[in-house]
Amino acid sequence: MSYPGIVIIGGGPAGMSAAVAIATHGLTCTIVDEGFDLGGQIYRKPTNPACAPAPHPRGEGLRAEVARLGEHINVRTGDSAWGIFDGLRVAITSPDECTELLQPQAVILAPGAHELVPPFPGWTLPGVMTPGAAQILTKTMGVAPGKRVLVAGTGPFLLAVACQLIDAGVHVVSVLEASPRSAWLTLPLHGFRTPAILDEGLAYLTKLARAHVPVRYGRVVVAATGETELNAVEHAPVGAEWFPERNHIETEQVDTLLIGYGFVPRVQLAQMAGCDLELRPDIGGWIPVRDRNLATTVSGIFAAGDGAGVAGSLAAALEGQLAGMAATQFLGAIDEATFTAARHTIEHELARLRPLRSALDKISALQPGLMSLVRDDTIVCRCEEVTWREAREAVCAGSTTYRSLKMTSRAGMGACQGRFCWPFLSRLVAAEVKCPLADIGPPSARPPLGPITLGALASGLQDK
Amino acid sequence: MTDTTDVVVIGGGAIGSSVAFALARHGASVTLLDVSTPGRATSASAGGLWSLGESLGLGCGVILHTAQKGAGDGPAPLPLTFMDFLWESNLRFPSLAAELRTLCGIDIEAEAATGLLYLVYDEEQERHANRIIEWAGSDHGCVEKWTPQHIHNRDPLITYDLRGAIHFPGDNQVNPMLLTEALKRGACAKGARFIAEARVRAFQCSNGRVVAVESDKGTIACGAVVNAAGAWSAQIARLANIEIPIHPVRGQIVCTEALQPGTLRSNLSTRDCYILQKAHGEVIIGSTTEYCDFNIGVRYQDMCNLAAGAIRAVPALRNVMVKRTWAGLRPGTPDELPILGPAVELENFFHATGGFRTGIVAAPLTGEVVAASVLGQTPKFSIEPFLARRFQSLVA
Amino acid sequence: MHNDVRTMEIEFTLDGQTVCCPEGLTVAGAMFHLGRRSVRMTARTAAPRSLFCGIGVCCDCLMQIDERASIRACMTLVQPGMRVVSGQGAATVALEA
Repeated sequence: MSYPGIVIIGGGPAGMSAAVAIATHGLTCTIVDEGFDLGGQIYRKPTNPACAPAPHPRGEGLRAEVARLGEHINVRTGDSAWGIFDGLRVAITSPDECTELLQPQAVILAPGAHELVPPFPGWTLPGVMTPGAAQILTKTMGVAPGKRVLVAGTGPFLLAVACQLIDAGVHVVSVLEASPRSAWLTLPLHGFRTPAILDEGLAYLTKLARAHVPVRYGRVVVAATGETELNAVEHAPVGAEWFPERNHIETEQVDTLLIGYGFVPRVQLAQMAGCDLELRPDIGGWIPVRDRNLATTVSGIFAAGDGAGVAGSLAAALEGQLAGMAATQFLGAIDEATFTAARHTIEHELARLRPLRSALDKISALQPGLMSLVRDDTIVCRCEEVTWREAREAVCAGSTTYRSLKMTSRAGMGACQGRFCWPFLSRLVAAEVKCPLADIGPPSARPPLGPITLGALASGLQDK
Repeated sequence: MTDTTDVVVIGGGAIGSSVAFALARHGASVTLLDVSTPGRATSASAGGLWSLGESLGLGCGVILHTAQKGAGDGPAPLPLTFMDFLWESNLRFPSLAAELRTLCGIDIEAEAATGLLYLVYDEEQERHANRIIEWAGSDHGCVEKWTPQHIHNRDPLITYDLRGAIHFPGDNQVNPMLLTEALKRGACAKGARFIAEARVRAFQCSNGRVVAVESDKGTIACGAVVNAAGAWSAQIARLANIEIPIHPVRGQIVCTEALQPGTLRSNLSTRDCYILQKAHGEVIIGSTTEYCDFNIGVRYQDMCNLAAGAIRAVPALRNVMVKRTWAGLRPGTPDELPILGPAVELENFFHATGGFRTGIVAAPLTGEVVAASVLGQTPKFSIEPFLARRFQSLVA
Repeated sequence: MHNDVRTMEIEFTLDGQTVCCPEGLTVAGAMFHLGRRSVRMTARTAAPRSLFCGIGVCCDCLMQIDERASIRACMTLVQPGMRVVSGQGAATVALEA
C-alpha cells in the first residue's frame, strides 16, 4: 500500500480546496471520490463528450490547481469510501472490486449533501426525481429527463436547474416555490455584501421570464399520479406552515417532476468514526460538531463543506481550504502564526457569505405542512416499501423509538440506511412520544456506506 | 411518583419480554423496563434456533472454547442437561408462534423445516463431525451425515468442494426482533406495562428484599425483580450488591441485500461463519465471538473474514451486495450456561441472563421457568444447573 | 442539446436485447436515452422504480449489471458489451459455472 498522506473524502469544492491547501504546504494527500471525475455535484464534468463543458470557472480553476500540484495529490476517483475504523482507517473499494484499508494520519471529510424529499403520494413513480438527478442527466450526458417538466420544492437550486433544462431545450412547464414571494423579496437586504450571488439569482429569474416559465410562489406538490410512470402532478397553494389548501388543487399534465426541499449533509462517515453530532435543522439536520479549526471531536478528523452543514459551494471551498490548513498544522507542517493569519482571512470571507445564506435558510426552512402530505397507502420508506399506515400502526402499537419502529416495520432498514425516510419518520416518532426531534437521534450509519459486493469485501483480506 | 407492581422485569430483549409474557399469563402484574441501548444481543442476533448445533459445540461460527483452550480435539459439547433445555425450548416455537399471532397479530417468522447444515471441509472436521453425531445420540431427532450430492440436491448454491455435512433437522430459525416485539406486546395484552427508556438507577432494599426499583421514569414498588439486562446484567445486579460473572461477548455480523426467498434453504454453519437467509430475503453472515468490553464497533478484518467464509461455503454470494454490518453483545458466562432463578444475596431478586449464543432459542422456556421460580412454583424443567450459586466461589 | 462533436455509439445488452447509446452515459442515463425510465420492479409491491437521487444515495435505480445483482445504475458508466438486466423483485444469484 502506498502512503496516502492525509485522506480527503469527497472531491467537490471543499475536498479539492483542502487538497490544494495541503499540497501547497508540501504534504501529500489522497482524494477519494465515488464520482467519475473531480468536481463533486456542483462542478461535475460532462461524461458525454457531446455535452458542452459547463462554464464553471471556479470548478475548472480548482481542478487545474489539483492537477498542477499532482505530485502531492493522489486522486482516486471512482473509489468508494465506505467505512472508517479504529479512528482514522478508511476502507475503500475500487470499481474493479478491490478493497483496501488506507491508514492516514489525518482525514478530511468533505462528502457533500444529498437532496431532501419528504414523502407524498406518488413520489416513487418513474419520472419523479430530484432536481440534482435531472441536472446530471442534462448537463453531463445530454439526456433529457422527460418531455414536460415541472420543478418544485424550495430554494435557488430549483431556478438554476430549471434554467439548465431550458438551455438544453427541455420544456419546463413551471417552477413551484413553497415559500411566499414576499420572503424572497427581502433577500437583497441580506445580500448586499454578496452582490454577485444576488445577480446570479436575478439572471435565473430573467431567463425563466424570457422563456415564459412561470415561477409560482407559495405552492407545494401534494401528489403525483400515473400508472407505470408519472403523467400528472397535483399542487396547491399553502399557508404559513406550508399546509396545502386542498380545495384549491390544480392538476398539471407532466411526465417529469423534479422535486427538492433543500439538502441533507452526508454525515455517515463522521458517525462511523465516532464524531459527536449535533442537530441543526437550519443547515440540513445532523452535522458533526466542529471547533474553530473545523476539527471534529475525533482527533485527526476534520469536516468541511456541505457535508458538515449546508452552506453552498463558495463556503465549501473556503472551509476546505481551512480544513486543509488545519490538518497540515495538526501534522506540524505549518506554524501557528501562519495558520492563524490564514484562518483569520478565511473566517472573514465566510462571514461575508453568511447573511445571505442565513436568510435563504430561513426562507427554505422545512415547514410542518410538508409532513402532512402522506396518505395511508403512501410509501414512506422507499427501500423497504413501508407505507404510512404500517409505520403509523407500528408507532401506535408501541414503537416509541426510531429503533423499534425500524425493527417492527422495517422502515429505515433498507439500502439507503434511512437517509431518505429519517427526516419524516423521526418527526413522526417525536410527535407521537412528544419528545424533541434531537432525542430521536440520527439514523445509525453502518459500514458499508454504499453497496459493495461480498466478493469485494472479502478481497480486503489481502490487505493488512 | 411511586407505582406498585408484583414484578419488575429489567430488560426488554427476548429473555425479559418472554419472562414478562409468562408472568402476565399467570396473572401477575408486571412492569417491563427497557432502555434502547445500541448493541443489544436480541436486535443484533441472527435468530438461529440451533438447539443442537450450539449445544453440541459447533459454536456456529467462531468458537470461544477453541479460542480459550487451544484447538486440541475441537470443542466439547455443553452439558447434556443444557442440550435438553434448549431442545425443550425449541419445541415450543410452533405453538408460541400461533399464540402470538392470535394475541397481537405479529408473525414471528418461526420456520419449521429450515434445518441446520454443518459443512465439513476437511479431515479434522470430519472427525469432529463423527463425534458430534455420537454426542447427539438418538433422543434429539435424526442428526445425520449428508453427502455433497445430498447437500447439492437441497441447496444447489452450496459449494461442491467439501466432504459432506451434518444435518440437524430440528434446528430452524425465527425473526428475533419480531419474536421480542410479539412477546412484549403479548405481555401487554395480558396486562403487563411496558416502559421505554427507563434506565434503572438503584434498588431500595429492606430486610434482605428489594422493595422498590428506581428508574429514570420513576420509582416502582415491587414484590420481586427479574434481571434480564443481557450483557449489562452484571451492572444491574451490582446496583443491588449482587455479583454475577456476566461479560459482554461481541458478535459481528455481515448482512446482504434481500435475495429471492429460497435462495438458501438451509441454515449453514461452517468453521468460518454461519449463514442463513431470513424471511425477508436478507442473508446474515455471523459471527465473531470475542471479549471486547462494551465496544460495539465492527472490525474491518473480521468483516472481510466473514465475507470470505461465506463465499467459501456459497460461492455465488460473491456477487451479492453487502447491505450493512453490525455488532451485538451477548451476555457470556464462564461456563457458557445461563444464570437463571433466585439470587443468593436477595430473596426476591431473580436472574434471567447469561443467554450467551442461545438466548433466542432459550427464550420461551427461560420465560416459563423463571416465571415459575418468581411465583414460587416448581419449574417444569429443573433450573438447578443454572442457579447463580454455582459461581459462589468464583465471585467471592 | 448536443454539440457538433461526433460521439461513439456504445453497444450493450438490456434484458438480453442488443441496444446502443452514446458514450459517456451512465446506465441510468442510457435507460432514459432509450425511453425506458423504469429500471426495475420492486420486491414487495412489484412497483416500477427509476432514477431518483442521481448521486448514489437512495439506491432506487439498482440494476443487475454483469452478473452483479444490485448495482446503482446512476453510478455506473455504460461499457461496450455490458450486460444490463432490469430487476424483477428481490435480487437473484446465479450458480457459478
